[in-house]
Amino acid sequence: MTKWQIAFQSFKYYLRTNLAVALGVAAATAVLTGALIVGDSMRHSLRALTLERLGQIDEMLVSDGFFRAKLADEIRTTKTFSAEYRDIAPAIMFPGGTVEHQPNDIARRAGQVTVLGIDEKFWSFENSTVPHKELVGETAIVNQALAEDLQISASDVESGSARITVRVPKLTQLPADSALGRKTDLIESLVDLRVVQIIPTEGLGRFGLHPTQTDPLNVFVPIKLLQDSLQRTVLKHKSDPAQANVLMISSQGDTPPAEKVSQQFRREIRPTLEDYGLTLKRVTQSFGTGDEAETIFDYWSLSTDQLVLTNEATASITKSFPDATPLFTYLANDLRKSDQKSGIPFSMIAAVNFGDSFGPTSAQSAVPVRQLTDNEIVLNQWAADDLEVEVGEKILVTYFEPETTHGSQVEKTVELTLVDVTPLTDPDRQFVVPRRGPIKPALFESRAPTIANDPDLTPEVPGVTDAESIENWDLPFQTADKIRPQDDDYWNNHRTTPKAFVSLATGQKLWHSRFGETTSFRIGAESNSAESIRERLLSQFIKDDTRLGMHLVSIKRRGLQASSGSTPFDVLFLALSMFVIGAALILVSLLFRLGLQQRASELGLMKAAGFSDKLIRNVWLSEMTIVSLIGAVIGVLLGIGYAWMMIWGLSTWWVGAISRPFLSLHVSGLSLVVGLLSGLVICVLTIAWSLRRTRNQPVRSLLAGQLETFGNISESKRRYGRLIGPLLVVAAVGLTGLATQLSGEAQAGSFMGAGFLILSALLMFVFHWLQQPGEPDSAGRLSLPRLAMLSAKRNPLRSTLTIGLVAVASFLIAAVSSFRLTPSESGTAGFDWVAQSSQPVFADLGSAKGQLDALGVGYELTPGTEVMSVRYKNGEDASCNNLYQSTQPRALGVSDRFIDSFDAEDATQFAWGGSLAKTEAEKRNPWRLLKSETRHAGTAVDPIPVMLDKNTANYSLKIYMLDTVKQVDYDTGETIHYRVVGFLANTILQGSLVMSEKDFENAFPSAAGYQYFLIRDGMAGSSADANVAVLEDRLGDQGFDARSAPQLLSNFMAVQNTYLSTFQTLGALGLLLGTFGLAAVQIRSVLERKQELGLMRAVGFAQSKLSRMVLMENAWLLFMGLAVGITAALFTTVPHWFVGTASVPWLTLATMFAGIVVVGLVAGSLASRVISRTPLLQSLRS
Amino acid sequence: MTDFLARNLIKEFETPSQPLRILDGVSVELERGQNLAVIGDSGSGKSTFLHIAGTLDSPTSGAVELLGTDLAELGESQLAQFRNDNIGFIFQEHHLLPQLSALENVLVPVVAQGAADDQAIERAKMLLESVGLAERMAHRPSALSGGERQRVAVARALIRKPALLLADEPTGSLDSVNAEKVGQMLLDLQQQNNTILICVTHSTSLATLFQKQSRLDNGKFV
Repeated sequence: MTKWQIAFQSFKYYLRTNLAVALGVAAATAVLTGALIVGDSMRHSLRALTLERLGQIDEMLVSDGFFRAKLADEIRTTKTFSAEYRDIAPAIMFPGGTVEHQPNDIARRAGQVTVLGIDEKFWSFENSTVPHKELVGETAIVNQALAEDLQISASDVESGSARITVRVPKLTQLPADSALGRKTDLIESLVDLRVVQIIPTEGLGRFGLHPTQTDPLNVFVPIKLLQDSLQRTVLKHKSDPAQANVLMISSQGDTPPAEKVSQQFRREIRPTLEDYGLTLKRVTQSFGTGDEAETIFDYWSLSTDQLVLTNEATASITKSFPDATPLFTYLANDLRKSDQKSGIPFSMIAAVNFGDSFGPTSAQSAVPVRQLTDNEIVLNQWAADDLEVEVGEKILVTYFEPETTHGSQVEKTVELTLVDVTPLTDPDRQFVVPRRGPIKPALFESRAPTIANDPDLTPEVPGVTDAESIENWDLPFQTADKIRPQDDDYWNNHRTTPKAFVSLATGQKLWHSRFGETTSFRIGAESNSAESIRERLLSQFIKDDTRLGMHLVSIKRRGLQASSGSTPFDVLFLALSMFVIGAALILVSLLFRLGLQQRASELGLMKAAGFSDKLIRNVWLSEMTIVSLIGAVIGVLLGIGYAWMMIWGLSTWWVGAISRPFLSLHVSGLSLVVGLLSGLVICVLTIAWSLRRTRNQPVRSLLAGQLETFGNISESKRRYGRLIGPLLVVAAVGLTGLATQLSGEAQAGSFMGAGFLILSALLMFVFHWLQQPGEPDSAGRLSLPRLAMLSAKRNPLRSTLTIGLVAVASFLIAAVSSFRLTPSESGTAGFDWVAQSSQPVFADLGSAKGQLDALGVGYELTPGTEVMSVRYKNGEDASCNNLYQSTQPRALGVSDRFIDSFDAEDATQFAWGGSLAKTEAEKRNPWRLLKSETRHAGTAVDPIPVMLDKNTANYSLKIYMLDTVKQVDYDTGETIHYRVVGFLANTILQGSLVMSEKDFENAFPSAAGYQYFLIRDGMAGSSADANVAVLEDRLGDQGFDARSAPQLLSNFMAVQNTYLSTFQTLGALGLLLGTFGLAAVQIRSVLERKQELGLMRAVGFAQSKLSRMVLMENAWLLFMGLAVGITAALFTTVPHWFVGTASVPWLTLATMFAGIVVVGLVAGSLASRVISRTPLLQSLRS
Repeated sequence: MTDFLARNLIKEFETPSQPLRILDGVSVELERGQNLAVIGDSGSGKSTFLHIAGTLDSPTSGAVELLGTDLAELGESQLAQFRNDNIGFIFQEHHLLPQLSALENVLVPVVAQGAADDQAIERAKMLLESVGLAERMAHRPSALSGGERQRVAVARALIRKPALLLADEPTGSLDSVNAEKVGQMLLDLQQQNNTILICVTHSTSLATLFQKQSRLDNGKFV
C-alpha cells in the first residue's frame, strides 16, 4: 500500500465529491485555455487575412512616380532574385481612386477605392483558384465589396450593362502645392469601362497596402489602359511608354524572405536615373567649326522631373560629385527698376555661385563677375538694356511664394542691387519648335555666345520649357496679358535662358520650400561619362538610402508582424478573465474544503494512526492531483468550447468590436498544453493552500468530525494576519490613483490589480468580522433573520469564500459597466460631419471664395456653415476599428485657423485625456501646443508635436505617456519622429496623428491639398444634410464622401462598448460559478446541520419556515457579496469618474444586479428544496 | 379526561423479507404532573415510542392523543404548531445551535412563532436560572460543559410551557454525578411546570426517580 494507492482508493470512494472539485478545476482551466485560444484565433485569423490579401506577393517595389515596366525584367537577372525570389510583375496602383456607376438618373459613387492596373501575371500571385476574366480593352473587374457599394449585380455584369467610370489622380510633374503646380484638372478619368467580373472580396480580391480586417474597395483594370490614358499627360515625356508604379514580387519560399535577404535584394535593384525621375543631359555650346571651334560650355546637367531636387537627393549628389555646381532657378513674375511700376514679365533667375564651373564675365570690364553676396543681382545685357538700368541701381524682383495654401499664390517682392551685367549674344537663328520631335536649338554662326547664353540653366518643365510661346505656358496663372513683343523675341532667341543671377544663398533664402532648394547640378563633362555619372549616383543613392520616391516594401513580412494585433487578445482576455479564474479557484477551494470537512474524521484517524501532517498532506495532494488532472483535461475541452463561443459571439453579437466577422477558431497545441498545465498547477496550489488548515488540528476534534478554520494558529500570527487587510487597502489606493494616470493596458492592469487588492481586503475584513463572536447577550433580538445571519456566520471561511464568489462577479459587472461610453458633444467638438476625399481639394472650403471656386455659382453652402480643411497623409487606420498593429498611422495636418478656433470662449472643445499644456492659454486650448514659429524637422532631436486619441495611442501605437517620442517609417519613404503633446479622449479624430499644417507640409511634402474635412452645419432650419449633398455632388469627381460626426463617434464607441459587453459576459460566467458555489455551500450546509434542523422541526418549526431561514442565509451571503463587489467597484471607478473616463449606466446596472439577485436566490432555493426532501426528523433518531 | 393517551400503538418497518414490528400494541395513559420512565434494551422500541409520542414519527396503527387532540388528525404544519405549543424535547445529543448563546438557544422554539418578546426572554432567563446557568446565559455551547449543555436543552424544552415533555436518554452522555443532577432537575422542573414527562433511558438509577417505570421488550410493555 503506497500513498498513491490510498489516494487513488480515496479518489474512487469519494468520486462524487471529487468530481465537484474537478468541475471547479475545469472551470478555471477552461477560462484560462479559452483566453489563450481566443488570442491564438485572433492572431491566426489576422495572419490568414494577411496571407489571403497578399497571395504570394511578398515584397513590393513602390514608387511615387512612374518607372519602366521592363525594370521587372532587369530585376529578374539579379543574383538575389534568382536565388530567393520566384516571380515579379509590374502594375499601376492608385490607392485613392473614385469609381462611379450610373445605371439610371442616380449616380452611385465610391471613394477611397484602390485602382489596380494589372496584367494577367498579377493573378498568378493568387493562392485561391477563383477564375478571373481576361482584362482587355476598356474593361474592369470589381471586388464584391465595391460591387455592393455601387449596387452592381452579377446579372448587370452578365448583361454587359455594368459600366463604371474610374477616376485616378493625374500625377503632375510639379507638386500641386508649389507655385507653378497645377491645382485643377488633376483627375484622369477612365470612362465607360465594362465590368466583366465581380470577384469575391477574398484572396487578391481584397488586395491592399495596409493591413485591415475591413473589406477594401478594389477595381482592377488592364495596365495598358492606364498606361495609354496617362501617356497623354504624366507619361508624355518618358522614353518608354510601358510604365508602372509598383512591382509585385513573390519569393520562392512559403514564408517571406528574411530582412537580410530583402536588404541585399534592395541593393541589387538598379533603376535608371529616369526611373528615379532624374534627367542627365549633356549640355554643350560651341562656336565655330573645325579646328577653330571654341567650346563655350560643356557639362552634364542633372535635374529632376519634379523641378526641385529633394534635399536628400541634393546631399547624395553633392557627396558623389563634390565639385558639381548646384543651381536654383526660379521664375520671377516681374523684374523692374525700383522707380518703375512694371518691368520685364516672367523671367528666369538663376541662383548660382560664380566660380570655375560657371563664371560669366562682366559686359563692362570683360573680367569674370565677382562672387555675389546677399541682396545683389546680376542682369544679362538684354535685361539691363530693357530696364535701362545702371550698375548700382536697385532692382525689384517680384515672385510667387514657392508654396501655396488653399491653392492661392502669394506674390512677394524683394529689392536687390545690380552689381554687374553679363553679356548675352543674340543668335543668328532662333529656336525652332517643330510639331513633333525635339526643339531645334538656336544657331550662333557670326557671333560667339557667352556662358550666360544657356537656356539649360533652367530645368525642363513640360508645358513651359517646351512651349512655343510664353502665352502658351501651361501654368496655373495668366501670362498672356503681360507679355510684350520684346518678351516674345527673347523667348524665341533665348527661351529659358536666365535674365538675372543671384547668389545660391540668396536664391535659396528667397525660394526654398518643403520641396527643396536646388533645381539642377552642373557636373563637369571632361572627366565624366554618362555611364560613370549614373553608376556613381546610383551607388551613392543606395549607400545613403536616399529617398527618391522608390521603396522596396516587405509588405508580407510587415503584414504578418502587424498580425500580432493592436491588442494582445490573449493577454486582454486573461487579464479580464483573472477574476473569473479567481472565482473558479475560490470555488475549487470551497468545494475542496467541503470535502475536507466531510472527511474530517478520516483525517483524525490518520493522525491517530501516526501519520505526520506532512504525510497526510502528501496523500491528500496526491488524490487532489488526480482530481485536478481530470478537471484540467475536462477544462481544456471546455476551454475550446468556451473560445468557440467567444469567437462566435465576436462574429455575431459583438461583431462591432472587430468590425467584420473574420474570426475563425484556431487551436494551437501549445495553448492547450499551457492551459492544461497552468490550470493544473494553480488548482493544485490552491488545494495545497487549503490543506494548510489540516495542520495542528486537535485529533479529538477531527475524530468528532470537526475541522477548525485554521487549526491552532497562534494569536500573534492571527494578529499579523489582520494587518494584511489594511495593507491591501493602502496598496489598492495607490494602484487606483496610478490607474487614473496611466492608460491603455497599463491602466487596465492597474485597475484590475486595484480591484483585486480591494476585493481581497474587503473579504479579509468580512472574514475577520464573521470570526467575531458577536454580542454576548443579544437574546432580545433573536428572530428568524438573525438566526439566519448567525447561521451564515457559523463557518466564517466558507461564508467568506461564498461572498467572494458573488463579489467577484458583481465587481466585474459593475466596474466594467462604468466604462461604457456614450457619445457626447465633446467627442465631436460640435462638428456635424467628417468628410474625406479621394483626391485633394485645393480651394479653401472655409471661405466664400473657396466655396465658389470649388462648388461653382449657385451651389453655396448654407450661411454660417464652417468647413475646416485638413491635410491628409494616407496611412493605416490606427483607430479601434483596425485590429492590426499599426506602424504607419495616417496623419492629419490642422491649420492655424482650426487651432485658433478653440480659443473662443464659446467654442465647443474636444474632450482631452491630458496634455503638456503649461500656460493658461494652452490649458484653455491645448491645440496651441501644435503651433510654433518654425517648422519642426521631424527628427529625433526636433520631433513634431502631435495630438493623439488616447485609445489610438494606447492600444494601436503602444504609447502610454505624454511626451513620448516615436518614429514612423512610411512605405512612401518619409520618416518622421513625433512627440505626443496631448491625448484626445474618445473623439472623432481617433486613428490619426494630428499635427500642425506647417509641420505636416514639412513632413509630407508630396501630400498636396486637403483631403479631410470637418464641417459644422450653418443656419438652423435648412435640411440637415443639405451642405453634404452639395459638397458630395459638386466634389464627386474628387470622391468627396461625408459621414455624420456623431454617428462616426458612436461607431468608435460601439467598439469599446462591445468589448465591455464581452467582458461583462465574463462577469456573467463568474456569476454562474458564484451561483454554483452558493448552491453547493448552502446544500452542504443544510446536510451538515441536518440534526440541528431536525431539532428545530421537533420544537415546532414548520418546514416552510426552515426553508425560509435557509433562503435568508443565502440572501445574506448574496447581499454581502453584492455589497463587497459594488464597494470594490466604487472604490476603483470613482477616481475615474472624477477624471471623466467613467460614467455609470445606472439603469443597466440596476437591471443587472436585479438579475444577479434573482439568479442568486434561485440558487439558494435549491438548498431550500433540499430541506423539503430531507427527512430532518429522522436525523434526530441517531 | 386523560391528558396523554397512547392507544395500542403498532409500528412496523418494511424489510425485504417481512415487516419488522418495533412496537406491538403499546398503550399508555398519563395525567399532567405524572412522569414515566421507559426502560428497555437497545432495539426494544423505546425511542420509536418516544418519537411517535412526540409526533416526530407516525404509528402504523393505533393513536396518540394529547390534551384531547388526536394527533393523527393534524396536518404537517398543524403538527409543527402543535408540537411547538405542547411538546418539549430533550435528546441525548443536546442539538444546541453552536452559533447562539445559551439564552438564545433556549429561545429557539419561541422564534418558530415569531421573534422572542420580553416575556419569553424573561422566562428563558428564569429557566436558565432554575437549571443553574444564571451566570452562563451569554455563553455559546462551545464554552459549556456537557452537563451544562444538557441543562440548556432542558430549559429549551420548557420554554413554551409544554404539556408533554419527552426525554430521550437525557443523561446518556453524562457522567454519573452530572446524570443524577440533570435527572433530578428534570423531575423538579416537571413538577414545577406541571407537565407530563416521559423519559426513555437505559439508566435504572434514573428510572427509579420516576413515579412510574415501564419496561419495553420486543415492542410490548412488560
